[in-house]
Amino acid sequence: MGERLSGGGTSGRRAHPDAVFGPRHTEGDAGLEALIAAAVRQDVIDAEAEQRAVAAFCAARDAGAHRARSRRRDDWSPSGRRTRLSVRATLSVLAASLTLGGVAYATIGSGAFPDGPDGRTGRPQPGTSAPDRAPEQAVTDPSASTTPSGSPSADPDRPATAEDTEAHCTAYEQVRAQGRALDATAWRRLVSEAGGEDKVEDFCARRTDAATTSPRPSAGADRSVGNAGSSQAGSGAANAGEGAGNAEGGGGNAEEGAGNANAGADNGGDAGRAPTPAPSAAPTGGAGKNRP
Amino acid sequence: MGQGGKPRRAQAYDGELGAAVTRAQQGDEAAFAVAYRIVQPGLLGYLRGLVGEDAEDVASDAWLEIARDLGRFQGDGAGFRGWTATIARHRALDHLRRQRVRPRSAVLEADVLELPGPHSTHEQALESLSTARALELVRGLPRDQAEAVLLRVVVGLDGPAAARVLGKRPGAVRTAAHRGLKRLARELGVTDEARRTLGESK
Repeated sequence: MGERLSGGGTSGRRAHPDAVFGPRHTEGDAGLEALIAAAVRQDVIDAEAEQRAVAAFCAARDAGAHRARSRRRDDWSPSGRRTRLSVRATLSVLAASLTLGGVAYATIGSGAFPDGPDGRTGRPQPGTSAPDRAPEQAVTDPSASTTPSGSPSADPDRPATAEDTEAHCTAYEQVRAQGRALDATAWRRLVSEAGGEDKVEDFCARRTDAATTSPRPSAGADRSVGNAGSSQAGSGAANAGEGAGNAEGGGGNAEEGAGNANAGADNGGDAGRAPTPAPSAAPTGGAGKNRP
Repeated sequence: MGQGGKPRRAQAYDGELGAAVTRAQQGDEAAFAVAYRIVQPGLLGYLRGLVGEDAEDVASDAWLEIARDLGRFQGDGAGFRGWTATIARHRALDHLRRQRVRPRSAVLEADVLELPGPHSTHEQALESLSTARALELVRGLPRDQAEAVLLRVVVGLDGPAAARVLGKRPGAVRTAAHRGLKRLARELGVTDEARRTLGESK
């Protein structure tokens, strides 16, 4: 097709293939690569398409679009890539330690819980403590206790939704690069929240900026206050939900660190469900405060 | 449009490309056109491997986004190749998602040449490789191998950059490119043995 193109193309710059392949016949893989490159590259430039691109460039320049802030995906400088990796490593280590620490803390907490239904020996498994606790909270909001994975409708004031969005933003780029997982509910929600696939990046950039300017400790403090103010049983249910929310966010970070979007997305989902009784330190502390 | 023919190896132009991108970011539209001419051949080849005949349309969409977001880009010429390839890939995947057509199921032109027999000489295999035939061969590869080969060989990215475009680990992309090239060589009838024979006979 290349040969035909050189006849009908706009400039006819394409050389005869032999001129390209000739000197590389005996160079092994390099020869094969040059062969494929020469055959697949489209060396005839369509002047009309080029003019459209340049016109778009001028329009964007005149509209001031070129002063937009760089996103992480726009940084292809070698130093930027290194920084990116170290941030990833830090985040994954942080997520792992939070998860493990939460599990350990939950184990201690459930063992020392004085008014459990079966006493201390009744629930040796930290993995089942949240479902076990659910029946005794029948008088409280049932949706909160039966949906520990934290759907955003469970509590409109719950800040974990924002953290979910943040984590999804972090993972979105990777998942989108994989091109397969975008149909999942979480991503659809993110896209609809942003108002369209094209707007996700800007939406996420705003989110990330907002998150870095208002650090998480304040959110944690708010959460503790909220827990202390509510009734004991209610705070237990809320804690279960928030623990799940945190775990889900951590899963998103861990996925980012692993750099494997597909497996990571699955892990994120599992993390949101499985370790429900692994609350972060703050919510468990809130429950402790409620006890006389 | 009238400048001379370009070498096929993309990397040779990275210095010029980086300078052009820097000038374009300062508002020079002629420099943007220079960057376009350096990047577009490989980008279009990559998109042909991904979406077939719709490559020109997808490339146009990608360039609109590139033109709009150029101010955000940070990096050198090689980085610009990776950045643009990422944008083009996203546009291509969006396109495929809209179409619900897998890249390899698109029908290529019917007049592709016959597969050379195993006894073809190296020269015959090379001379018979038209663009359509090469694209058919590349698109016959598993998707990960095809993309790795296209990004490495046609776009001219190095291993880490290709890995970043694909969102995979560099090792996985290196393996995929190696396997893809090996399979292409086999299908072209360019075996190691043939190579050795040719090398000795010359």
